[in-house]
Amino acid sequence: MNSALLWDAFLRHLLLCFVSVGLGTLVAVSMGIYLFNRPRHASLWLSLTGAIQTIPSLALYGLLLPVLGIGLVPAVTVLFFYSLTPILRSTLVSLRQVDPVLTEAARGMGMDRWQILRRVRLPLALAGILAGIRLSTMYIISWATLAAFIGAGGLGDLVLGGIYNYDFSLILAGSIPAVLLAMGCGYFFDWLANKFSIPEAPDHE
Amino acid sequence: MISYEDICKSYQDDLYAVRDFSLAIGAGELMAVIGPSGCGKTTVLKLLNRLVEPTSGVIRLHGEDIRDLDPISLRRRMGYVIQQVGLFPHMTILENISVVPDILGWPREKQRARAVELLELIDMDPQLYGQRYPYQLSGGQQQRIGVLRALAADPDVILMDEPFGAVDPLTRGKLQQELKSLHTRLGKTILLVTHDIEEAFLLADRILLMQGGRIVQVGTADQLKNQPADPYVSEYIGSWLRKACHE
Amino acid sequence: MNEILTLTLQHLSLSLQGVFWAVLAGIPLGYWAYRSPRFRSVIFPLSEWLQIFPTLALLALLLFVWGLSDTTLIAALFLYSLLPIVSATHAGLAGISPAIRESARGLGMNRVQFFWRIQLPLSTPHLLSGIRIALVTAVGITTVGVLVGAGGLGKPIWRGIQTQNTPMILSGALPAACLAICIDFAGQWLEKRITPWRQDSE
Repeated sequence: MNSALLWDAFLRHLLLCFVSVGLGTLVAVSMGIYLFNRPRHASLWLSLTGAIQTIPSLALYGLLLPVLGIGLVPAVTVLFFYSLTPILRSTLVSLRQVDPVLTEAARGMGMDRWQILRRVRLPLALAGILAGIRLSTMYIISWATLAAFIGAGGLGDLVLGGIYNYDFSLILAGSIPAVLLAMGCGYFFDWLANKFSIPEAPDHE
Repeated sequence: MISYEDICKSYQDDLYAVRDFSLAIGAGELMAVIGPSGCGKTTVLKLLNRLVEPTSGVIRLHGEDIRDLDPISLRRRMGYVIQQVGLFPHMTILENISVVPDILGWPREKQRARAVELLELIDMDPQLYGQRYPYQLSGGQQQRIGVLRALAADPDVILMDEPFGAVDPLTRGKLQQELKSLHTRLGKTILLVTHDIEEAFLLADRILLMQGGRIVQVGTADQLKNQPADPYVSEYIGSWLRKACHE
Repeated sequence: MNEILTLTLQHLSLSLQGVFWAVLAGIPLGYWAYRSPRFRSVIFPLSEWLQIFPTLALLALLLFVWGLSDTTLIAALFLYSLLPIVSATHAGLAGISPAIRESARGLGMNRVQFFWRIQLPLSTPHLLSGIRIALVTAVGITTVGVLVGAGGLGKPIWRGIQTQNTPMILSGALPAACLAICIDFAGQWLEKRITPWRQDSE
């Protein structure tokens, strides 16, 4: 098996995931920051992104084909949409769960809305937000294999090749790196969340 | 009617929850068990319906060793009320009250009639409350339903573990009055664990004060007040007494 | 039109079959996970990793077991639906407050009665939610099933992509998307209807 082929597919795959999750994080976290104290708007947007999530990926690729064609652009677009929900949800929940006592204290000290957000809420919510990004990343790494259907390349290409040629090793060559990548990202985000989480006193239950 | 004979309960070698515990409770008596946290009063209660088993000693109900009885049917013969109530959220009020009769196989009509009868006993309109769900009731109302649930199968003995602890003082007072009146009317034997000394003095025929797993004194309110068996008795109820005297 | 309807029903049937077997296996597994912390530490990571495993790859691997057939797809659906069901069952059981458990025991319910009268009804909202999620995911996976010889709406989509035939793509993609969204909405509506009481201690 051609190792250059594998490496190429792997890099392609990384590109797909990195760009889509990166954009998704930017957009979803910003949405979360804007929406967390506007419950009705928040649930509207959550429902919208959630609805997109229920659409089967192949169907979504199909629906966007007339508009975006095939290749990298539609793939990234679809994956971007799929990455939104977990990140939006975790951002909303984490920002809301910040202890009101702390935001009260901050208000009392004379901080305005933005300062409270920047100095109190976001740092405390960071661990939770990272958990959402972690989840989204792991799912996108898995779903990006389907991007091969619309010619975007990536590890899915190898799997598809394996299906067409009844080549077991080709399938493994496509799937194992994806699983390892997902695992690696999982551990990376765990480590990151650990660095940013606030040390807590043990519970007195 | 109920007797504890030399009951001991230990969890590890030397950790005794209850020790050298012997007590007789008469039929129709309301006995309150009081004492500081960790004194073993809840354990004493749970020994009776075998949620906890003794390490040594015998407990008799109507003369029978309760270990000779099937624990499940034993519990169905007793009412059990706990502080957090534990009403089943997916059942209506009528269904909650009828849980034990239903398990015992009472015909539907009889279950319903009994539940209605009990609701009327505490002046809660069955038409209004019967079909409601627990979440639609206040904390105090839920507590009262918890008591009715314990009474539904007409047991001889009711076990209550700090039943009114989670309610505000005003509601607690009303619930206590209601329990007193129910006791007078129905004549059940009641074992009531409470940390509220006033409640014990108000409701109980006899009071049992425990400390460190042992009995300090058993007697009427007057006996505990005027003939304390130990300085600890006066110390424990003393602060409450002083407050009561000043009012 | 007729063909689309047939394909849609086929799609739905395949998805339901996969989830059905997962429910059959998942509920007991979820109950076991609830009772045994050791088992829990095994089954949860296992099913989580199943979820991450690329769908296409799993289907491809199963191809070598059952070949080009509906069975390959259903086996994959079964494996993917396990986590949502096991997790939902476990969450439903674990969500029952200790006060409820204690009063049920104290009143004299035995294990069987406790299961049928208390645990099962109180776990139902969680369970329905898990089944809904599994079913929606199943509809998604079934669209890819065309690659392993299963039927369903994946056929027109796939064929259409290959021949750049937009109407054909849409004839499969639109019903598939609608199917998924409808199941999601119907499921959420059903969950609300079935629980007129509110959850305790969530």
